[in-house]
Amino acid sequence: MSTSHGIDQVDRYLRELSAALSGLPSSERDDVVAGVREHIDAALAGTDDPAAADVERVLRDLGDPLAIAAETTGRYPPRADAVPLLQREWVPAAVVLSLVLGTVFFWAVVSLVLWVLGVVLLWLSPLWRVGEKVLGTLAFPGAALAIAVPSLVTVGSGSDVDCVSAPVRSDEVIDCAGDGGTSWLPMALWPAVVVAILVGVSIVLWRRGAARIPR
Amino acid sequence: MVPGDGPLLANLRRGALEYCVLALLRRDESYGLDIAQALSSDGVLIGSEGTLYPLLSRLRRGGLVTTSWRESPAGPPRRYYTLTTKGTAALQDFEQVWVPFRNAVDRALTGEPA
Repeated sequence: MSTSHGIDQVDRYLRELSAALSGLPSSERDDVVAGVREHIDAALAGTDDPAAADVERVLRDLGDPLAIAAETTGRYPPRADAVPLLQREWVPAAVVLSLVLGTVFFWAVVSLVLWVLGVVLLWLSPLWRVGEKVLGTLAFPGAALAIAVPSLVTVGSGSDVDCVSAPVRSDEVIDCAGDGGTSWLPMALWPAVVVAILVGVSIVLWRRGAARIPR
Repeated sequence: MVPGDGPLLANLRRGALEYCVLALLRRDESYGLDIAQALSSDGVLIGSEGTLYPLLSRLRRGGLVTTSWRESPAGPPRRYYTLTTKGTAALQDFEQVWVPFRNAVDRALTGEPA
């Protein structure tokens, strides 16, 4: 009878402690509760059947769960619902994903709306500095233009077709050496470079924003 | 119960308690129950033993201590706390600040000349 009573008391105490710590992120709450549980186990070690009096003494020495929770005030991160909406954990991801998706699928109205929302969130949120906000606003459309425009221009000019099929006029010098073989290379490389820069910008925005989330 | 076990003492503890824990670990690594009992023996440094655990959690997250499990002769394995080099450095910094501070406060209280 005393065994189950002792264990019940311990369980009840640990539940109260966990509830008192409910304002903490779960990893830290679990950390503290685990430490206290180990303390209790060590204090009652050697007896499978701790007497109620021993259990009460150990729990009394540990003290009021609210007093333990009070030790965490002011130095632990704020309660989840005390953090302003625009500074919460999901904001950096939402902004970056909105900007990326809005840019990649720019022909779709839904994506454009998404992009606008991403930009609005970026500017309203305190998680980024002005320079970072400007970067985030300009980088994605700038990249889309940088990829789209040259490919439109080279498709229109058809320079390798001229080199191969047009008759060479004596007063015109057309240098075809090596053009046919290498003209595709910059076209493939340029978008890759731009995408790499965009990935870099996305990562920078995400990490900078996430680093400023209140914790 | 120490006289004045209220906000005043709580504030003073807040500044110094973690360094007392680090100092205890500098002498030897130890486990939670042992640390709690050592610090609570005079009732001054620590109010109730449970208040040690948020502090230990903070020290570990800050990289000032690490933990490891060891078998114990009686009962379940115990989690031992060990001071890291970062913790040793933090403790030394505290000692350099604390000792002159403590001396200055004592002198001010007793009216001794500087």
